[in-house]
Amino acid sequence: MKQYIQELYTKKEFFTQAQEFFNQEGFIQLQEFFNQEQKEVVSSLTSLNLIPQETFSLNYSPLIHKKFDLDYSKISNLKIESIELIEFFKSKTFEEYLEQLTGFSIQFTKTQISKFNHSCFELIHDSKVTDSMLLDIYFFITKDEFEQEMGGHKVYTTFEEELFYINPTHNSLTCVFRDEELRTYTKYINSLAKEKEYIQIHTTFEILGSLEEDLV
Amino acid sequence: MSSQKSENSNNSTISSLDYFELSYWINPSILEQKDELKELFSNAKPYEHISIQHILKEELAQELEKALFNLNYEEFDTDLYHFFKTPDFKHITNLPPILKEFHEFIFHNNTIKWFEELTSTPLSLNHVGDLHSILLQQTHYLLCHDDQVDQRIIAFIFNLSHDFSKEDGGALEIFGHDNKNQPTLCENTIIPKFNQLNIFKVSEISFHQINEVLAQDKNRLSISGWYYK
Repeated sequence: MKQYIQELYTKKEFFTQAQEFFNQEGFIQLQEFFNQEQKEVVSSLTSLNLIPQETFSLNYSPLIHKKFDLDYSKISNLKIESIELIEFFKSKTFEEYLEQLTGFSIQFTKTQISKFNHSCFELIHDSKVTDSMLLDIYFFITKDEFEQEMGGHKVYTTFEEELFYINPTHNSLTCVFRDEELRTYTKYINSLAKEKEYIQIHTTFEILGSLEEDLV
Repeated sequence: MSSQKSENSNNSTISSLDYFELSYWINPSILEQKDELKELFSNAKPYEHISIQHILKEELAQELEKALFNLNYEEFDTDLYHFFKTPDFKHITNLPPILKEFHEFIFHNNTIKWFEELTSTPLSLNHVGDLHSILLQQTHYLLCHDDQVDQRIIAFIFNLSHDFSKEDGGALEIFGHDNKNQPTLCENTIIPKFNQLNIFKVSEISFHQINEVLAQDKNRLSISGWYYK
Protein backbone atom coordinates (compact mmCIF):
# COMPACT_ATOMS: atom_id res chain seq x y z
CA MET A 1 0.00 0.00 0.00
CA LYS A 2 2.71 2.44 1.02
CA GLN A 3 4.34 1.84 -2.32
CA TYR A 4 1.36 3.10 -4.32
CA ILE A 5 -0.33 5.91 -2.41
CA GLN A 6 0.97 9.20 -1.10
CA GLU A 7 3.22 8.54 1.87
CA LEU A 8 1.38 11.19 3.90
CA TYR A 9 -1.83 9.14 3.69
CA THR A 10 -0.22 6.12 5.34
CA LYS A 11 1.15 7.77 8.48
CA LYS A 12 -0.30 7.04 11.92
CA GLU A 13 -0.74 10.75 12.72
CA PHE A 14 -2.69 11.20 9.50
CA PHE A 15 -5.14 8.41 10.41
CA THR A 16 -5.82 10.07 13.77
CA GLN A 17 -6.59 13.42 12.12
CA ALA A 18 -8.53 11.80 9.26
CA GLN A 19 -10.80 9.85 11.63
CA GLU A 20 -11.49 13.01 13.63
CA PHE A 21 -12.39 14.94 10.46
CA PHE A 22 -14.46 12.07 9.07
CA ASN A 23 -16.43 11.63 12.31
CA GLN A 24 -17.15 15.35 12.44
CA GLU A 25 -17.94 16.06 8.77
CA GLY A 26 -19.19 12.70 7.54
CA PHE A 27 -16.82 12.72 4.58
CA ILE A 28 -13.17 13.13 3.68
CA GLN A 29 -11.48 13.74 0.33
CA LEU A 30 -7.85 12.79 -0.28
CA GLN A 31 -6.35 14.68 -3.22
CA GLU A 32 -3.51 13.14 -5.26
CA PHE A 33 -4.33 9.79 -3.68
CA PHE A 34 -2.04 7.58 -5.70
CA ASN A 35 1.64 8.35 -5.82
CA GLN A 36 2.07 9.44 -9.40
CA GLU A 37 5.82 8.98 -9.29
CA GLN A 38 5.19 5.25 -9.44
CA LYS A 39 5.31 4.19 -13.07
CA GLU A 40 2.79 1.39 -12.55
CA VAL A 41 0.26 3.75 -11.02
CA VAL A 42 0.66 6.39 -13.70
CA SER A 43 0.32 3.68 -16.31
CA SER A 44 -2.89 2.28 -14.75
CA LEU A 45 -4.53 5.72 -14.39
CA THR A 46 -3.62 6.63 -17.96
CA SER A 47 -4.78 3.27 -19.20
CA LEU A 48 -8.19 3.61 -17.56
CA ASN A 49 -8.53 7.14 -18.89
CA LEU A 50 -8.06 5.79 -22.38
CA ILE A 51 -10.69 3.06 -22.24
CA PRO A 52 -12.50 3.22 -25.57
CA GLN A 53 -16.08 4.54 -25.55
CA GLU A 54 -17.43 1.20 -26.83
CA THR A 55 -16.35 -0.47 -23.58
CA PHE A 56 -19.03 1.60 -21.85
CA SER A 57 -22.76 1.10 -22.41
CA LEU A 58 -25.31 3.90 -22.16
CA ASN A 59 -27.41 3.44 -19.03
CA TYR A 60 -30.35 5.83 -19.49
CA SER A 61 -33.45 5.69 -17.29
CA PRO A 62 -34.99 9.17 -17.66
CA LEU A 63 -36.33 9.27 -14.08
CA ILE A 64 -33.13 7.92 -12.53
CA HIS A 65 -29.89 8.54 -14.40
CA LYS A 66 -28.01 8.95 -17.63
CA LYS A 67 -24.44 7.69 -17.62
CA PHE A 68 -22.19 5.17 -19.32
CA ASP A 69 -21.43 2.03 -17.32
CA LEU A 70 -18.42 -0.18 -17.92
CA ASP A 71 -19.58 -3.25 -19.78
CA TYR A 72 -18.01 -6.15 -17.88
CA SER A 73 -18.53 -8.48 -20.83
CA LYS A 74 -15.90 -6.41 -22.64
CA ILE A 75 -13.52 -6.19 -19.71
CA SER A 76 -11.12 -8.68 -21.30
CA ASN A 77 -10.38 -6.00 -23.87
CA LEU A 78 -8.99 -3.74 -21.17
CA LYS A 79 -5.31 -3.32 -20.55
CA ILE A 80 -4.03 -5.30 -17.61
CA GLU A 81 -3.22 -2.06 -15.77
CA SER A 82 -6.88 -1.01 -15.88
CA ILE A 83 -8.08 -4.35 -14.56
CA GLU A 84 -5.55 -4.22 -11.75
CA LEU A 85 -6.68 -0.74 -10.74
CA ILE A 86 -10.34 -1.82 -10.71
CA GLU A 87 -9.47 -4.90 -8.67
CA PHE A 88 -7.53 -2.76 -6.20
CA PHE A 89 -10.76 -1.07 -5.05
CA LYS A 90 -12.26 -4.49 -4.26
CA SER A 91 -9.18 -5.77 -2.48
CA LYS A 92 -8.77 -6.70 1.18
CA THR A 93 -5.79 -4.34 1.33
CA PHE A 94 -7.97 -1.40 0.32
CA GLU A 95 -10.73 -2.47 2.72
CA GLU A 96 -8.23 -2.51 5.60
CA TYR A 97 -6.91 0.87 4.55
CA LEU A 98 -10.42 2.35 4.67
CA GLU A 99 -10.98 0.85 8.10
CA GLN A 100 -7.93 2.68 9.37
CA LEU A 101 -9.03 5.86 7.63
CA THR A 102 -12.59 5.88 8.97
CA GLY A 103 -12.41 3.85 12.17
CA PHE A 104 -15.22 1.59 10.97
CA SER A 105 -15.33 -2.14 10.42
CA ILE A 106 -16.62 -2.58 6.86
CA GLN A 107 -17.52 -5.18 4.26
CA PHE A 108 -17.29 -4.79 0.48
CA THR A 109 -20.71 -4.54 -1.22
CA LYS A 110 -20.26 -3.54 -4.86
CA THR A 111 -18.25 -1.51 -7.32
CA GLN A 112 -19.40 0.32 -10.44
CA ILE A 113 -17.24 2.04 -13.05
CA SER A 114 -19.02 4.76 -15.00
CA LYS A 115 -18.22 7.50 -17.44
CA PHE A 116 -19.93 10.91 -17.25
CA ASN A 117 -19.98 13.60 -19.93
CA HIS A 118 -22.36 16.24 -21.37
CA SER A 119 -26.05 15.57 -20.50
CA CYS A 120 -25.25 12.85 -17.94
CA PHE A 121 -26.90 13.03 -14.53
CA GLU A 122 -28.10 10.99 -11.54
CA LEU A 123 -31.31 12.06 -9.79
CA ILE A 124 -32.28 11.58 -6.17
CA HIS A 125 -34.30 8.39 -6.20
CA ASP A 126 -36.20 6.71 -3.41
CA SER A 127 -34.82 3.28 -4.28
CA LYS A 128 -31.35 4.54 -3.47
CA VAL A 129 -32.22 5.22 0.14
CA THR A 130 -30.48 2.74 2.36
CA ASP A 131 -31.65 0.97 5.52
CA SER A 132 -28.11 0.31 6.67
CA MET A 133 -25.09 2.55 7.10
CA LEU A 134 -22.82 2.64 4.09
CA LEU A 135 -19.46 3.96 3.09
CA ASP A 136 -19.50 5.50 -0.42
CA ILE A 137 -16.05 5.59 -1.99
CA TYR A 138 -15.45 7.61 -5.14
CA PHE A 139 -12.27 7.65 -7.16
CA PHE A 140 -12.12 9.91 -10.22
CA ILE A 141 -9.98 9.70 -13.32
CA THR A 142 -10.05 12.54 -15.81
CA LYS A 143 -7.79 14.68 -17.94
CA ASP A 144 -10.26 17.56 -17.54
CA GLU A 145 -11.09 20.06 -14.83
CA PHE A 146 -14.76 20.40 -13.98
CA GLU A 147 -15.87 23.77 -12.67
CA GLN A 148 -19.00 23.72 -10.53
CA GLU A 149 -21.07 25.70 -13.06
CA MET A 150 -20.57 22.84 -15.56
CA GLY A 151 -22.21 20.27 -13.26
CA GLY A 152 -20.92 16.74 -12.77
CA HIS A 153 -20.32 17.13 -9.04
CA LYS A 154 -21.90 14.80 -6.47
CA VAL A 155 -24.27 16.48 -4.06
CA TYR A 156 -25.15 15.01 -0.67
CA THR A 157 -28.35 16.35 0.79
CA THR A 158 -30.98 15.80 3.45
CA PHE A 159 -34.63 16.76 2.90
CA GLU A 160 -33.87 20.14 4.41
CA GLU A 161 -30.54 21.21 2.96
CA GLU A 162 -27.62 20.36 0.71
CA LEU A 163 -24.71 19.37 2.93
CA PHE A 164 -21.64 19.10 0.72
CA TYR A 165 -20.37 18.63 -2.83
CA ILE A 166 -17.74 16.31 -4.24
CA ASN A 167 -15.94 17.56 -7.32
CA PRO A 168 -14.71 14.98 -9.82
CA THR A 169 -11.01 15.77 -9.42
CA HIS A 170 -8.44 13.49 -11.03
CA ASN A 171 -6.75 11.00 -8.69
CA SER A 172 -8.86 11.99 -5.68
CA LEU A 173 -10.41 9.51 -3.26
CA THR A 174 -13.55 10.51 -1.36
CA CYS A 175 -15.18 8.58 1.50
CA VAL A 176 -18.72 9.48 2.54
CA PHE A 177 -20.66 8.12 5.49
CA ARG A 178 -24.22 7.53 4.26
CA ASP A 179 -27.23 6.67 6.40
CA GLU A 180 -30.98 6.65 5.71
CA GLU A 181 -31.28 10.44 5.98
CA LEU A 182 -28.70 11.24 3.34
CA ARG A 183 -29.55 11.36 -0.35
CA THR A 184 -27.21 11.92 -3.25
CA TYR A 185 -27.33 13.04 -6.85
CA THR A 186 -24.95 13.92 -9.66
CA LYS A 187 -25.63 17.37 -11.05
CA TYR A 188 -26.60 17.39 -14.75
CA ILE A 189 -23.52 18.12 -16.87
CA ASN A 190 -24.36 21.05 -19.10
CA SER A 191 -22.94 22.29 -22.38
CA LEU A 192 -20.28 24.44 -20.71
CA ALA A 193 -18.44 21.16 -20.11
CA LYS A 194 -18.16 20.71 -23.92
CA GLU A 195 -16.12 17.51 -24.55
CA LYS A 196 -15.04 17.07 -20.95
CA GLU A 197 -15.60 13.73 -19.26
CA TYR A 198 -14.58 11.75 -16.22
CA ILE A 199 -14.49 8.14 -15.13
CA GLN A 200 -15.80 7.31 -11.69
CA ILE A 201 -15.03 4.18 -9.70
CA HIS A 202 -17.81 4.02 -7.12
CA THR A 203 -17.33 1.38 -4.46
CA THR A 204 -19.76 0.75 -1.64
CA PHE A 205 -19.02 -0.88 1.70
CA GLU A 206 -21.49 -1.78 4.40
CA ILE A 207 -20.52 -0.45 7.83
CA LEU A 208 -20.57 -3.33 10.31
CA GLY A 209 -19.58 -1.34 13.37
CA SER A 210 -16.84 0.67 14.97
CA LEU A 211 -13.35 -0.84 15.07
CA GLU A 212 -13.34 -0.31 18.81
CA GLU A 213 -16.89 -1.27 19.69
CA ASP A 214 -19.95 -2.45 17.80
CA LEU A 215 -22.43 0.22 16.81
CA VAL A 216 -25.85 -0.03 18.40
CA MET B 1 -57.92 46.71 -30.68
CA SER B 2 -54.44 47.79 -29.80
CA SER B 3 -55.52 51.21 -28.53
CA GLN B 4 -58.43 49.72 -26.59
CA LYS B 5 -56.08 47.22 -24.95
CA SER B 6 -53.62 49.92 -24.07
CA GLU B 7 -56.32 52.06 -22.49
CA ASN B 8 -57.74 49.15 -20.52
CA SER B 9 -54.34 48.01 -19.43
CA ASN B 10 -53.37 51.41 -18.12
CA ASN B 11 -56.59 51.83 -16.19
CA SER B 12 -56.59 48.21 -15.04
CA THR B 13 -60.31 47.91 -15.75
CA ILE B 14 -60.39 44.24 -14.93
CA SER B 15 -64.05 44.34 -14.12
CA SER B 16 -64.76 44.83 -17.80
CA LEU B 17 -66.36 41.69 -19.21
CA ASP B 18 -64.06 42.01 -22.21
CA TYR B 19 -61.22 40.46 -20.29
CA PHE B 20 -63.14 37.31 -19.55
CA GLU B 21 -64.17 36.61 -23.10
CA LEU B 22 -62.23 34.07 -25.09
CA SER B 23 -62.50 36.20 -28.21
CA TYR B 24 -60.71 39.02 -26.43
CA TRP B 25 -57.49 37.01 -26.04
CA ILE B 26 -57.62 34.07 -28.42
CA ASN B 27 -57.20 34.35 -32.17
CA PRO B 28 -60.63 33.92 -33.85
CA SER B 29 -59.27 31.27 -36.23
CA ILE B 30 -58.25 29.09 -33.24
CA LEU B 31 -61.72 29.35 -31.74
CA GLU B 32 -63.21 28.26 -35.05
CA GLN B 33 -60.98 25.17 -35.17
CA LYS B 34 -62.05 23.76 -31.83
CA ASP B 35 -63.34 20.43 -33.18
CA GLU B 36 -60.18 19.75 -35.19
CA LEU B 37 -57.97 20.70 -32.24
CA LYS B 38 -60.02 18.47 -29.95
CA GLU B 39 -59.43 15.54 -32.26
CA LEU B 40 -55.71 16.25 -32.56
CA PHE B 41 -55.43 16.38 -28.77
CA SER B 42 -57.28 13.13 -28.12
CA ASN B 43 -55.46 11.21 -30.88
CA ALA B 44 -51.97 12.39 -29.93
CA LYS B 45 -49.38 9.73 -29.04
CA PRO B 46 -47.88 8.66 -26.69
CA TYR B 47 -50.37 10.59 -24.56
CA GLU B 48 -52.91 13.35 -25.11
CA HIS B 49 -51.20 16.63 -26.01
CA ILE B 50 -51.31 19.41 -28.55
CA SER B 51 -49.24 22.38 -29.68
CA ILE B 52 -51.23 25.36 -31.01
CA GLN B 53 -49.43 28.17 -32.85
CA HIS B 54 -50.54 31.85 -32.83
CA ILE B 55 -52.89 31.14 -29.94
CA LEU B 56 -53.22 34.71 -28.66
CA LYS B 57 -53.80 37.90 -30.55
CA GLU B 58 -50.30 39.00 -31.44
CA GLU B 59 -50.36 42.40 -29.72
CA LEU B 60 -51.56 40.83 -26.46
CA ALA B 61 -48.83 38.19 -26.59
CA GLN B 62 -46.29 40.99 -27.04
CA GLU B 63 -47.72 42.92 -24.09
CA LEU B 64 -47.61 39.82 -21.90
CA GLU B 65 -43.98 39.26 -22.83
CA LYS B 66 -43.11 42.88 -22.06
CA ALA B 67 -44.84 42.71 -18.66
CA LEU B 68 -43.02 39.49 -17.71
CA PHE B 69 -39.67 41.24 -17.81
CA ASN B 70 -40.86 43.50 -14.98
CA LEU B 71 -41.30 40.52 -12.64
CA ASN B 72 -38.76 39.18 -10.18
CA TYR B 73 -37.54 35.71 -11.07
CA GLU B 74 -35.92 33.44 -8.50
CA GLU B 75 -33.26 30.89 -9.43
CA PHE B 76 -34.18 27.22 -8.81
CA ASP B 77 -31.33 24.72 -9.00
CA THR B 78 -31.87 21.10 -7.91
CA ASP B 79 -31.15 17.59 -9.18
CA LEU B 80 -34.14 17.83 -11.55
CA TYR B 81 -33.98 21.37 -12.92
CA HIS B 82 -32.18 24.67 -13.21
CA PHE B 83 -34.15 27.77 -14.26
CA PHE B 84 -35.65 31.06 -13.12
CA LYS B 85 -39.26 31.14 -11.94
CA THR B 86 -41.67 33.73 -10.61
CA PRO B 87 -43.94 33.07 -7.64
CA ASP B 88 -47.50 32.03 -8.47
CA PHE B 89 -49.19 35.10 -9.99
CA LYS B 90 -51.89 34.98 -7.31
CA HIS B 91 -49.21 35.68 -4.69
CA ILE B 92 -47.56 38.61 -6.48
CA THR B 93 -48.57 42.00 -5.19
CA ASN B 94 -48.38 44.76 -7.80
CA LEU B 95 -48.70 42.28 -10.64
CA PRO B 96 -48.67 44.31 -13.88
CA PRO B 97 -52.29 44.91 -15.00
CA ILE B 98 -52.14 42.80 -18.14
CA LEU B 99 -50.80 39.79 -16.18
CA LYS B 100 -53.51 40.26 -13.56
CA GLU B 101 -56.11 40.30 -16.31
CA PHE B 102 -54.58 37.25 -17.98
CA HIS B 103 -54.59 35.42 -14.65
CA GLU B 104 -58.29 36.18 -14.19
CA PHE B 105 -58.99 35.16 -17.77
CA ILE B 106 -57.19 31.82 -17.39
CA PHE B 107 -59.22 30.86 -14.32
CA HIS B 108 -62.52 32.29 -15.50
CA ASN B 109 -65.28 29.69 -15.94
CA ASN B 110 -65.59 30.38 -19.68
CA THR B 111 -61.90 29.67 -20.23
CA ILE B 112 -61.91 26.56 -18.05
CA LYS B 113 -64.93 25.28 -20.00
CA TRP B 114 -63.11 25.90 -23.30
CA PHE B 115 -60.14 23.84 -22.03
CA GLU B 116 -62.61 21.21 -20.80
CA GLU B 117 -64.13 20.83 -24.24
CA LEU B 118 -60.81 20.92 -26.05
CA THR B 119 -59.33 18.21 -23.85
CA SER B 120 -62.55 16.25 -23.14
CA THR B 121 -61.51 16.38 -19.48
CA PRO B 122 -63.72 17.51 -16.57
CA LEU B 123 -61.99 20.37 -14.73
CA SER B 124 -62.63 21.94 -11.37
CA LEU B 125 -64.36 25.31 -11.66
CA ASN B 126 -63.84 26.13 -8.01
CA HIS B 127 -60.11 25.65 -7.77
CA VAL B 128 -57.93 28.60 -8.82
CA GLY B 129 -55.00 26.65 -10.22
CA ASP B 130 -51.38 27.66 -10.55
CA LEU B 131 -49.94 30.23 -12.94
CA HIS B 132 -46.35 31.42 -13.06
CA SER B 133 -43.63 32.32 -15.51
CA ILE B 134 -40.50 30.27 -16.16
CA LEU B 135 -37.38 31.62 -17.82
CA LEU B 136 -34.64 29.33 -19.10
CA GLN B 137 -31.33 30.66 -20.38
CA GLN B 138 -28.15 28.97 -21.59
CA THR B 139 -27.41 25.68 -19.67
CA HIS B 140 -30.88 25.65 -18.02
CA TYR B 141 -33.04 22.52 -18.26
CA LEU B 142 -35.90 20.56 -16.74
CA LEU B 143 -35.32 16.81 -16.72
CA CYS B 144 -37.95 14.13 -17.26
CA HIS B 145 -40.95 14.06 -14.91
CA ASP B 146 -44.73 13.51 -15.12
CA ASP B 147 -46.20 16.63 -13.38
CA GLN B 148 -48.40 14.46 -11.14
CA VAL B 149 -48.86 16.55 -8.01
CA ASP B 150 -52.10 16.90 -6.05
CA GLN B 151 -55.10 16.90 -8.39
CA ARG B 152 -53.42 18.42 -11.46
CA ILE B 153 -55.06 17.11 -14.63
CA ILE B 154 -54.33 19.57 -17.49
CA ALA B 155 -50.98 21.31 -17.93
CA PHE B 156 -50.69 24.35 -20.20
CA ILE B 157 -47.69 26.38 -21.36
CA PHE B 158 -48.00 29.67 -23.22
CA ASN B 159 -44.63 30.00 -24.92
CA LEU B 160 -43.25 33.47 -25.53
CA SER B 161 -39.78 32.53 -26.81
CA HIS B 162 -38.36 34.10 -29.96
CA ASP B 163 -36.29 32.54 -32.73
CA PHE B 164 -35.54 29.12 -31.25
CA SER B 165 -34.30 26.42 -33.60
CA LYS B 166 -33.69 22.74 -32.80
CA GLU B 167 -29.98 23.52 -32.31
CA ASP B 168 -30.82 26.13 -29.66
CA GLY B 169 -32.27 23.50 -27.29
CA GLY B 170 -35.11 24.41 -24.94
CA ALA B 171 -37.51 22.04 -26.72
CA LEU B 172 -40.39 20.35 -24.93
CA GLU B 173 -39.78 16.62 -25.32
CA ILE B 174 -42.67 14.17 -25.00
CA PHE B 175 -41.54 10.74 -23.81
CA GLY B 176 -42.97 7.32 -24.57
CA HIS B 177 -43.38 4.67 -21.90
CA ASP B 178 -42.97 0.92 -21.48
CA ASN B 179 -45.48 -1.63 -20.20
CA LYS B 180 -44.49 -0.79 -16.63
CA ASN B 181 -45.34 2.87 -17.26
CA GLN B 182 -41.71 3.92 -17.10
CA PRO B 183 -40.46 6.56 -19.57
CA THR B 184 -38.45 5.30 -22.51
CA LEU B 185 -37.33 7.77 -25.19
CA CYS B 186 -38.46 11.09 -26.60
CA GLU B 187 -41.18 10.51 -29.21
CA ASN B 188 -42.16 14.09 -30.01
CA THR B 189 -40.09 17.27 -29.90
CA ILE B 190 -41.85 20.64 -29.72
CA ILE B 191 -39.53 23.56 -30.49
CA PRO B 192 -40.54 26.69 -28.55
CA LYS B 193 -42.13 29.44 -30.61
CA PHE B 194 -43.50 32.84 -29.79
CA ASN B 195 -47.24 32.76 -29.01
CA GLN B 196 -47.48 28.95 -28.90
CA LEU B 197 -49.76 27.06 -26.50
CA ASN B 198 -48.81 23.53 -25.44
CA ILE B 199 -51.37 21.48 -23.54
CA PHE B 200 -51.11 17.96 -22.18
CA LYS B 201 -53.10 15.71 -19.91
CA VAL B 202 -51.35 14.91 -16.64
CA SER B 203 -51.29 11.20 -15.83
CA GLU B 204 -48.93 8.43 -14.72
CA ILE B 205 -47.49 8.40 -18.27
CA SER B 206 -47.26 12.14 -19.04
CA PHE B 207 -43.44 12.05 -19.08
CA HIS B 208 -41.83 15.15 -20.56
CA GLN B 209 -38.79 17.37 -20.20
CA ILE B 210 -37.32 20.62 -21.48
CA ASN B 211 -33.95 19.87 -22.98
CA GLU B 212 -31.00 22.08 -22.17
CA VAL B 213 -30.97 25.56 -23.65
CA LEU B 214 -27.80 25.73 -25.72
CA ALA B 215 -28.24 29.18 -27.29
CA GLN B 216 -26.09 31.84 -25.70
CA ASP B 217 -28.34 34.88 -25.81
CA LYS B 218 -31.89 33.57 -26.01
CA ASN B 219 -34.64 33.57 -23.42
CA ARG B 220 -36.96 30.59 -23.27
CA LEU B 221 -39.84 32.45 -21.68
CA SER B 222 -43.25 31.03 -20.87
CA ILE B 223 -46.33 31.34 -18.69
CA SER B 224 -47.47 27.97 -17.46
CA GLY B 225 -49.84 26.38 -15.02
CA TRP B 226 -52.31 23.61 -14.34
CA TYR B 227 -56.01 23.03 -14.14
CA TYR B 228 -57.22 20.65 -11.44
CA LYS B 229 -59.67 17.75 -11.32
